[in-house]
Amino acid sequence: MFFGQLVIAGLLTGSVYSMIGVGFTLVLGVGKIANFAHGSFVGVGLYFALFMWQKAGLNPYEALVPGLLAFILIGWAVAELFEWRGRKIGEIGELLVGLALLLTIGGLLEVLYTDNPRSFEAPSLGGVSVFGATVPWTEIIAAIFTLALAAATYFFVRLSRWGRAMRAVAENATAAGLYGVRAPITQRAAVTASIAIAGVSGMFIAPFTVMTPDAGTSYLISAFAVVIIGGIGRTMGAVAAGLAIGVVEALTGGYLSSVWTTLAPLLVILGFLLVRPEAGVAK
Amino acid sequence: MKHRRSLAGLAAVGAIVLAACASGGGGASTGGNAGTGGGAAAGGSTSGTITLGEVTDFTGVASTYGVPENQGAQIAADEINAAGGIKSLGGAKLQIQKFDTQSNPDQGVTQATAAVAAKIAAVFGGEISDTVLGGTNVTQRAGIPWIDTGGVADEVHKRGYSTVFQGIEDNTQEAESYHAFIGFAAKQLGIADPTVAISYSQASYGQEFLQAWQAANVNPTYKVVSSFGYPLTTTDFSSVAARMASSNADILFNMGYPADGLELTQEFSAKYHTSAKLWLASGANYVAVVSQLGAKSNGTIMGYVPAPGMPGLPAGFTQAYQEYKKKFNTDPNSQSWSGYTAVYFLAAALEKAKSTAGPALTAALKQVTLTHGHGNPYPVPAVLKFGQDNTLVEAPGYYTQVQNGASVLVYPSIADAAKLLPYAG
Repeated sequence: MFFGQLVIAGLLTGSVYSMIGVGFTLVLGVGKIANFAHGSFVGVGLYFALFMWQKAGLNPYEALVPGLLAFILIGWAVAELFEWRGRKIGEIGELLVGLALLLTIGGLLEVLYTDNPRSFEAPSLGGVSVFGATVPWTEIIAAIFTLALAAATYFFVRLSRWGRAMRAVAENATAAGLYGVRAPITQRAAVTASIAIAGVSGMFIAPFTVMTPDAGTSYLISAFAVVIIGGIGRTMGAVAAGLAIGVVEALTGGYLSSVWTTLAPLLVILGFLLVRPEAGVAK
Repeated sequence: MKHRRSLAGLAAVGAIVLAACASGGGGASTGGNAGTGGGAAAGGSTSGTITLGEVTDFTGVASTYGVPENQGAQIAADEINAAGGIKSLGGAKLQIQKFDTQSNPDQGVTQATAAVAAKIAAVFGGEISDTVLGGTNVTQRAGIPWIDTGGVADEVHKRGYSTVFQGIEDNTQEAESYHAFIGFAAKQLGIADPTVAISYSQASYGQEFLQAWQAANVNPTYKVVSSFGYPLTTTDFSSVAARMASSNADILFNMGYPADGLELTQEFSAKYHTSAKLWLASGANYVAVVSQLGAKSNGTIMGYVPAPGMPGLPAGFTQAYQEYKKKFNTDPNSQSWSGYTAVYFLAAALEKAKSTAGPALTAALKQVTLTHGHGNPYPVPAVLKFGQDNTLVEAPGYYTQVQNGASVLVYPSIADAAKLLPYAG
């Protein structure tokens, strides 16, 4: 029973990592930008959900559409910023933009909401009993969203015209340009989509997470881990990697000393890289 | 030419000597130098103002304690200044200078060094024991007293540093207090031979608490069926909650920080239902837990503080409470009162010492007392004072339980304390 509870807890935590990893693998694989602020936008999503609940009385699902629109606009603005700095001083400029956003967003959230950990559960949907533990529907919905998001992203990238354009740009932007694909717009679209996914992910996570302004940093670390194991640009790989990391964390925390909770996923990454050095390389 | 060079050289040397004398003297009063704590120049006083340094976490996860502590300290300083300041030092007014350790233990040394360089008269603060351990190394060398208001690891005062004072319960006192509370609770709830499951944060505080608990739990009085730690940086408590719940212990006991208690309470109420009759979230901030979880936190036991309506409240409490609420638009928590009493202790020591010099203040702190109406906001104990080992002779310890979405005092059993109810998570 205890083992089952840990596996379920790990899968649910892992689905959160996967959700964040899908967006990150998109910006890294197609946008070719290591956006260090990716986790911060998840944090913005958390507090956006809190804001809508407190001020407008809308639960995160009711606030999804306005949230998505808001994050698309934010994402496009950030993409423009990345593109502008990238044009000026190359990849270093993009890295610096990401870092600056990471620090700025964290600071702003701290000013607006202080460092007090916050929690809210809206709506209260009850749960399902599994192995003696109640799994809240809010977490199940987040897991379903993760799978749906990953599937949608996978099929979009594989089958749609825009998706093929993104893959072409990811392979070779110059060659894609010669075939009429507008690489800058495609890359901006990837960055916009990843930030929108990050923000909306935060909204899905909000009902069952304790929020702090620096939550974004831990999500960023998870996102990197997921991408390294799952492969850059591989959405289904991100799902599998996220779930694996979640389960490993839960089992090590449950059975071993909890110091392994942090160490175990890093050892998994190390082992993975030793066995498959080509991991983390975009395809 | 040679003569002029000699004169210039002498002038330069003279200027250097004069500058050194000016910087070494410090503020208005000079007590002795080089006391037991090392070379200690008087400091922290300029033009009728005495500066106290608050070295604590104003940002980061521990700021949920650091900020209220500063707020309580400000209220105390305002009261003391309004009453005429430090009369033995010409009515000097108190001011507090903040040094933010950012919930990062590595910052303890850095910020303490900055405080000493800023020539503050004394230091108070610290929410994470490791931060206090590092910072007090600096102030001990400088001979400046530090009243620890939040770092409860026994090591803080057991190193024998003469300038370090434990302003709240240390781990041993806290462990003994919880041990006594569990005995009381077991009797109230009819639990025979209670079993306990413990989870603790793997900072110095948590590890030492476990040792102090084991020392208090001789024989053992209560059987510990599960005991495990988790890193300070843990954010996902689902496996911690699952492990505690699966132990089937009568009592679940967490020694962690505010976010830990909040998240575990949420996990127990929403996911991992337990047969335990008692859930102690000792590090949790009851104000935050109740405001955010409401009735979902019913049954949770946490540390408590004096609040309006509590029996035996001393004179002056209500005014301080109202001033706090008016100024900061929130209720004071345990750290608010720790900061409040720390400033009152330092004010009393300044009055007695008639000096801002470190050694004089340190000696005075061992002699002063806070009573009802003079800096002690707690109904029990009636007097706060430091003992020979620089810990409080009797430290206040109250426990609240959330019942019907509100905090009620359940221990100690002073008149009108509520009846303890079993946890139903």
